[in-house]
Amino acid sequence: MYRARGRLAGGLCLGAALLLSGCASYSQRFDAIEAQLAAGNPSAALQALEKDHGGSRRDEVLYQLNRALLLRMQGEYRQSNEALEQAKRLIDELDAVSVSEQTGSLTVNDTLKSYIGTDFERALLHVYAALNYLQLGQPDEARVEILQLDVLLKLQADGEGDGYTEDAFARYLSGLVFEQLGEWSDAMIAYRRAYQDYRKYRQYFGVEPPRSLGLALLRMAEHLGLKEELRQYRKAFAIEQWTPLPALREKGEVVLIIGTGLAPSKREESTAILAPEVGGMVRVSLPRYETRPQPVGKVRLLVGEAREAAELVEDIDAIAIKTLQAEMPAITARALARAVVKYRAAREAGKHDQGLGLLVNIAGFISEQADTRSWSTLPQRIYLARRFLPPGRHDISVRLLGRAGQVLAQKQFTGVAIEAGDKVYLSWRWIPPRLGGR
Amino acid sequence: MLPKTAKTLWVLLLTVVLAACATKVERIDVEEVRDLSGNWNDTDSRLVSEEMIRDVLSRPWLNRYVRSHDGKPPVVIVGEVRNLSHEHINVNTFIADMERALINSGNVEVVASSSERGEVRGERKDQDLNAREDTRKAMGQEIGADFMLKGTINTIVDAEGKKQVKYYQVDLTLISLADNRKVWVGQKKIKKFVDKRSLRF
Repeated sequence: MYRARGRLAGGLCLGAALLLSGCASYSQRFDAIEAQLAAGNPSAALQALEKDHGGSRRDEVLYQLNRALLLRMQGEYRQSNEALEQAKRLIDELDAVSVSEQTGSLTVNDTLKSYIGTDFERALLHVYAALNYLQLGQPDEARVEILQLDVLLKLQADGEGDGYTEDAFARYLSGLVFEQLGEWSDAMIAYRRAYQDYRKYRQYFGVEPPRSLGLALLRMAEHLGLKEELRQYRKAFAIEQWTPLPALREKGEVVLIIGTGLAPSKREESTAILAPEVGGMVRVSLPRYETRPQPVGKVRLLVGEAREAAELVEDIDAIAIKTLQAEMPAITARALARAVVKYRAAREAGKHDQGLGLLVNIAGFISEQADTRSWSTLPQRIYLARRFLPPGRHDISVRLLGRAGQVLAQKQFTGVAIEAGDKVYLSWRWIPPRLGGR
Repeated sequence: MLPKTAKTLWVLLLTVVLAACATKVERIDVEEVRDLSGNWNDTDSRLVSEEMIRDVLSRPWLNRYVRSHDGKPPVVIVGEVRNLSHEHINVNTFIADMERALINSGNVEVVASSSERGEVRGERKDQDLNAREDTRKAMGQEIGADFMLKGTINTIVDAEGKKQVKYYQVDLTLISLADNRKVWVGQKKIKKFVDKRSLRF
């Protein structure tokens, strides 16, 4: 009787394990979507994403995040924000520690946990929502996102510790929004914070504080009469000349945000260890980031005869890798704990029935899977260019140059209407036709 | 054979699980306060607008105006209420609530806001061409407002872990269009403590 029931349990375990392994890892399933993106076809990528999404609640946040960026690529800013709002609501709901999911992650694998995004992904969620609102011409709504972002960043790590603790680009964008709404002191606070964060970025991710931020800091410090700070920024950025704020208010500004490539994707790396006591193997699977080649050397903004360099403001490659590094000890500890649990289960089962022991062992082996979920439609890098222009219509073009100076791609914005004292946000997402890295 | 208590437990668990699956609908009164997420909701919008309009109509500016204008009630236009808060608040319902409270009081007259006027003017233009002459409404006969009501919704959020204190402040000002005088300034504050759950099944 006992034996028969034991066998049944073993069979069930095996079935469950086969079911789990039947679906390929998340990042593998994402390859089809990436192929569509590389072919320059975001709407087909969106279709592929919707087809792939089986309504699993555990991956729902990720689905909405990816959907939002694919919609944004097609210029559907309103729908993109609806998806981001849904993601926000879900994250809020799923943020509580789940007892069943924790048990699952400690006994089966990490993909049984609901995905709620890493710190930087959650910050970028608000950044993209704000950008969508800005491009819809709703700066007040963008301001709401900026305030939510501020609460989030304050909760995250309070700027203490190594690596990614604050988002410099998010702070820079906050400054831009406040500046647009004429809230000078809030703009100054945000720019100042961005500068502090960029100094950390320089140390950890090799991203320099952008010169355009330096100019913004100088203008704000001068306008608010902060003499000591003005002196400091002049020295730090080695800028001697700038146009004061009142003079610039007679002009309009174009802010260009360029996302290039795709964020790194997570891959699984497994190690199998022979465990002779159970007559089987024990497997430990861990995630690892795989970056893609980064072909962009320079980004240039061209208005008439004038040229402006777009500056690197966020290196998502570097941030993602650093974030995973920081999480690795916990992920490894969970994987080892799982290996022990699975090994013990197999040994116990083996004591009663050798065949059953083997079955449990195989089930444990197959069900071991690394969590390869990440917001993969994010760009690899974000560049930003700001240029003040006289009111009127302007033709603006952007040129992406390769490392050897060759033109990779070009985009033209014709007849962009600029009004005095206002900002116009333009965006472009470029994904190289050959993503490579496989 | 399972012992009896274990069996009962199983049945209980199954009932709970099954009950959680069914969609439940329950009608509630519009006036009933039910806070779910702690965000700005219909109750806040209604309470604030009602209270503030009651306040604005009970202040001396109204009597003073009526006395100096031979008993004619003032004409008010509701301008922009800017959302400077942490949430995407639908300001339109708030504005609609205020307009309703103002009009229903009977003490002031309210004219259409700038966004509504466009459509009305379009209709008048259309009447000019298509309506019978005796029913046609002439252009240039609109009533200019005497006062504009405008304001902001602000929040301060203090968060630590799963706990949040949200403080809303709604400021409204009534400005005389003739000379920029502020004849009334109103303020309403709401404070909420939100403690999010830290555990789920």
